[in-house]
Amino acid sequence: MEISRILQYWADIKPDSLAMVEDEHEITFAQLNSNSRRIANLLQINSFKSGDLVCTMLPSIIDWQVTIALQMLGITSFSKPLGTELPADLMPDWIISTEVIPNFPEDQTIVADDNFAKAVNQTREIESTPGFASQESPARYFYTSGTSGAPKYLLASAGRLKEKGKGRSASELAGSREFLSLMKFGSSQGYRAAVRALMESRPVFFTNGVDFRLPKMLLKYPIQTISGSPIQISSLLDILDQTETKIPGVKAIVMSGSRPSKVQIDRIRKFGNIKVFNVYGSTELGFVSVHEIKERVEAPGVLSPNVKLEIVDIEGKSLPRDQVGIVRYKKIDSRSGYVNDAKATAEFFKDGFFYPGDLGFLDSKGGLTITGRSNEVINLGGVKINPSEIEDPILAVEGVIDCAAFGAQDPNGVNRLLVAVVKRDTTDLESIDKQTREIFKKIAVSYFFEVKEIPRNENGKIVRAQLPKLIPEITKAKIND
Amino acid sequence: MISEQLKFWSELRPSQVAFVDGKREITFAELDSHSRKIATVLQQRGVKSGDLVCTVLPAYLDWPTCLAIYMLGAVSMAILSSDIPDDEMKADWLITSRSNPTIDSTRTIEVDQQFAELVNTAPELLEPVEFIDQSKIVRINSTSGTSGKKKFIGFNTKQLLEIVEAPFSGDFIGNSKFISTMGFGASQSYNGALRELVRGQTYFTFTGNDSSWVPMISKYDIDILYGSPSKISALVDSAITSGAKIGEGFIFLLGGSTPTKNLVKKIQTNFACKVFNGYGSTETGFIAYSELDESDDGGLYVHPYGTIEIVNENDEALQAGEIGILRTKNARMAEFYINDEVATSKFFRDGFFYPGDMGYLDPKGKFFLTGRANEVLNLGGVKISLEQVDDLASTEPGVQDAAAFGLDDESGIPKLAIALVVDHEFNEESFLTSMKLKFPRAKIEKIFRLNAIPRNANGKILRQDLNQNVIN
Repeated sequence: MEISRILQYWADIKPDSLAMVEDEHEITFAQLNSNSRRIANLLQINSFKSGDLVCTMLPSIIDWQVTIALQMLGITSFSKPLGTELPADLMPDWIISTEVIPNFPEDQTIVADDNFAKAVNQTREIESTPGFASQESPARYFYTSGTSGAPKYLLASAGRLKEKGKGRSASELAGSREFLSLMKFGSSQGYRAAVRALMESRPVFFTNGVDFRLPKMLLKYPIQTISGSPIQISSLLDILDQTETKIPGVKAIVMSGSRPSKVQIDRIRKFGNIKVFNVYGSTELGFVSVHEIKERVEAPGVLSPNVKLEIVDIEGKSLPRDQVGIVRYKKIDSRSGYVNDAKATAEFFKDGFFYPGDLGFLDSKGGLTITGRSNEVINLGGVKINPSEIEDPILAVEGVIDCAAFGAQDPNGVNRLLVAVVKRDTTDLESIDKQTREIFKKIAVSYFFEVKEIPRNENGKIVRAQLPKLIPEITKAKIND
Repeated sequence: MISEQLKFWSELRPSQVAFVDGKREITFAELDSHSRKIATVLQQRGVKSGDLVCTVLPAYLDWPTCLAIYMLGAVSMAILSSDIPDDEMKADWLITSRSNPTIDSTRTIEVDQQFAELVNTAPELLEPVEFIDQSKIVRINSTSGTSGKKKFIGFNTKQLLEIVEAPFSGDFIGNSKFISTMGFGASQSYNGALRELVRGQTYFTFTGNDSSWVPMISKYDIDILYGSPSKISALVDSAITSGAKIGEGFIFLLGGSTPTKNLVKKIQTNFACKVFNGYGSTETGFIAYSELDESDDGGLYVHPYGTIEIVNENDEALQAGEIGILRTKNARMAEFYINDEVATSKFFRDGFFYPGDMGYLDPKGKFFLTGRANEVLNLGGVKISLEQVDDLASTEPGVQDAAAFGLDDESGIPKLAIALVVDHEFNEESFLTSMKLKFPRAKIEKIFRLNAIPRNANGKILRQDLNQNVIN
């Protein structure tokens, strides 16, 4: 099923229904179809051709139209947020962006400005849409940064890209019809949300940034579920608080990418009877497990029926129930690796499984609990701890907004436990230290220090490699003392 | 695979309603538990993997029973009405809520009070059989077509997956909520219920004849009522009689046969609703749709899930605009008739299904149905489409329903006859005059007034029956 055929069908059957909403902009199926066909024609006139690689840096609402146009022409594409670096080994032939990109040839750049919009309007709709030459043709790249911070790319062939519409997206787990994804269209989840909405002839809701427009959007449309990373949901809660917006229509919030904190759950509860779901998965293989957060943030996740997940030891041997080990999983049509990155592929894809780098266990009922990340274990002189064991109690302290625990060596080679804290002015580090000391008992946090923001990737996962750089001079001096 | 999907939703959203049959609601947790208990009871009765199990049950009992049969690795089969399976499709078991004297009682499992009590106290089946071989048939449906001869089609796990994984497959309107008025034995019902199950959504069915489907619309926020024209017509009548109000924008989706203009008009004048026509078959599911509004030109939009081709008698593709034989294919259609090689070779060729319809595609790919391949009446060289006569006659004053057919005269020469269901407005003379103007190609030689036009379960006219009835 080509996207262009599906789009044409809905444009015929229900032309005036909303196809996409981004903040105050909306377009119908008829418009989406017509625009995409005009853009495709315009790009073809501009000598875009099958086999080219195109990078788009656009607001979601334009990005979706351009991406459909590119697929109509059988052109490989990927989206990047404006201002991010281009991948050195995936240099595009063209960039379509809202502005000229420094150090990229201007004659290979299409600036999507008012003139472009005018040109699109004056162009006729493309008549034939050849699409990709075969199911194996490279169709779209998705990127994932993981927590190492080094971006990796996944290639979706034309055949696999169609499959994106199958399976379920995180937002559908809550069971409602209309949902808003705070993920950008360019992300794997964002793309899936758009494709599924198109297939089901629902409008896909996007936002170009969590700001004052968002509360208006939530009140105007019957959005019942909001999905995003915990960090995006936090920004949403901030803006709702600031604008004193009530959201009685919202029935569920689905968080993915990382685990929300207790504080955040309590904040959501203030908005009424909203169900909160936490999804565990990866850009590489999608949705793996989900649980509804009730009294406790932590609860065993219900495994997707389409996933085969195992807990193994370091040699790949299956571990018994309730024993913590290395998480690995696969789906029927699992991917086999990253683009141009044999090292990362070898590290994360082994024996037909994907190894996300997480630790966890399965309970007697088959529920999955993730306990931490294998490469993030802090070794304090033989005592191994997961950062979350430290972070969770600290996050529960009144006035703490965010925090990250990590180890750093002192001049004697002894690993010290440090915690970077984002806090409100109403509390101080000493008080946090005092309140948590009781809980940690054997493990002593050597130093707390304050930061403005914890470095997190697009999914809300802490980018731990960047933490040592944040240590203030005064703390460094103390460690070296 | 199906049992795992059910378990997933029953753990994640146990109290969400999974299945609604009129006033009865079943949650995901109940459906999971109930199906597993039924499976245990059936297992105790001797139902085992590979058995063919026929069910004749109301929808709310049929669905958990079908799931239980699946869990045991057995094959479930639906039969329309209370016919017992034909000899060539001998079922190992019949599960029914009505005693059926024509089947061996040792193989009949009666769903009565005693059975219900057994189920309630039974433990849940813990380890459902998994279908490793995806090409093994797990579900059989019957289809009679208009030839009247019953044929059977099977679906394997791979095809069922295709049906449920495709975000749209049966319904044309994507994510909309619909009430199906088809009996649960229809293949659309099983497939539709399965699809909603996998998506964690509710399946709605209404098999009654009164107006109590109307309150379901607001209670569950329903967008579509779906069924055969005759069924929908009856339900619309009951709603009109009871004075029920239906919100603007609500959709009536008619499938199985082309709705008469009178029915469409009746819906549009009484309710500010939309009427859609779906075209397809039990073998392929719906393949094309159109909205019957003022812009309707008789064409149907082909569903992107599959393809339609128009070919000549040598299976050569025809140009846009040329009338020919329709053939169609999609990933989840049936591929053969079970135990019926003759029918299989006639209707399934080169990966296509040939439903026996004629039509053409316009340059934009819109499909126009012109009639059935076997519904062309040859009047001494003048070929006429009986369906076209039906359509024209249906719009005449006083005509409720119409069916044209060929009737041989004393010398064996076919003549055009028509069966009509009429009301007091009808005037035979003006009818014939008007038809002569509208359809000059052939003269209607005889009119038969009937109480009802004989139609199959999907609402298709059984012209053969018509012919025989008239003769008798």
